[in-house]
Amino acid sequence: MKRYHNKFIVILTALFLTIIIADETNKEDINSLINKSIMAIQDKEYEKALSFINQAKNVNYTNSSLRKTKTVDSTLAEIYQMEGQLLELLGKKDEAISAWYNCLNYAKTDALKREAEVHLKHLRD
Amino acid sequence: MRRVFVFIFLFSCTDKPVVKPDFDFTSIETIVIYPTPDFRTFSGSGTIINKSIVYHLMKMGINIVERETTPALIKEASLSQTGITQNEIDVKMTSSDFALLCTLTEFKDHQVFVVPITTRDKGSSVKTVETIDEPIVTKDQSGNEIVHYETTITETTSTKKGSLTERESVEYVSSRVGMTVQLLNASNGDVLWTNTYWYSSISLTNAVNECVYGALKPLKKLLE
Repeated sequence: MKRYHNKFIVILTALFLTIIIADETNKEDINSLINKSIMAIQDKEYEKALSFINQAKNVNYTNSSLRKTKTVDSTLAEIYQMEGQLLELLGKKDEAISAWYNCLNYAKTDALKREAEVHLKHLRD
Repeated sequence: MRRVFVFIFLFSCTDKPVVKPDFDFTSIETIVIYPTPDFRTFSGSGTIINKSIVYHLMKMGINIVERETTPALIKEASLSQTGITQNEIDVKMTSSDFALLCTLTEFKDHQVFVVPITTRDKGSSVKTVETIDEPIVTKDQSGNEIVHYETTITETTSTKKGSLTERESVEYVSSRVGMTVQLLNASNGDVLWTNTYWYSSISLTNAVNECVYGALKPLKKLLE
């Protein structure tokens, strides 16, 4: 019985370490993908920027995998805000509406909530 | 269900244009556009907005006279050829009773800046427990082998030292344009219609275009 107990502890330790490593990888991926997207926007390569944003959306999120920036509204709300703006610029109105809804749902600051509301009203009218 | 609530919320909190009641907007055929002053931090912003206003109003089928450019153009191109007089130019400029005034409340191009980020790794301590069961064979008095196991437990603790990591993150701030527009009755100075609007976009051109479109769209409904 004791033998099984010890093996269980070893497995738990390994699992814990795997989660920590995976979480660190997520953080790095999100940061790097958002940075790449911003640089593509700078070069006016909007389709390319959108593809980086789509990749960032597909990164497995946990509550702790927030983007470490000075802004409060990081990670998902920021990703959906950029996605909404890119889709608008590319003329994909319906997809942009969906992105702004998601931005509104995840936004933490009043400023970003208000921005999402203005865009939704503008696109719906 | 959540979307329905968001939708209801959206249409209950947005700013709406203010309209002078009982005025017949369908009688408006020509509007004089007055120059828009530049936003304090963006030289040329007034002209950019004015050109966009002209574009959107003309799309609505309104005849436009630009207060700033039209007199100079008439003077330069037509005065000598047609014999038109200065008084006639003034008559043309005041032939419409309606004037559109615009004030920029915001005019900001997008910004990208690099932020250094320091990540603090507090370090970690991991304890690994390994269990080995070794078989030990002994013989009893009658010579039969008896196998029993002796358990050895090894505990290993590995400690990772903490560290500070410096890296960079790119942050982005969208272009943003805000404006207030007023339609005036030039004959008595009455404000007939006013609206305020702002919009943000990745591109400044798009922000200007969408802001002007959004600000003037309610006016289009009244003029139809």
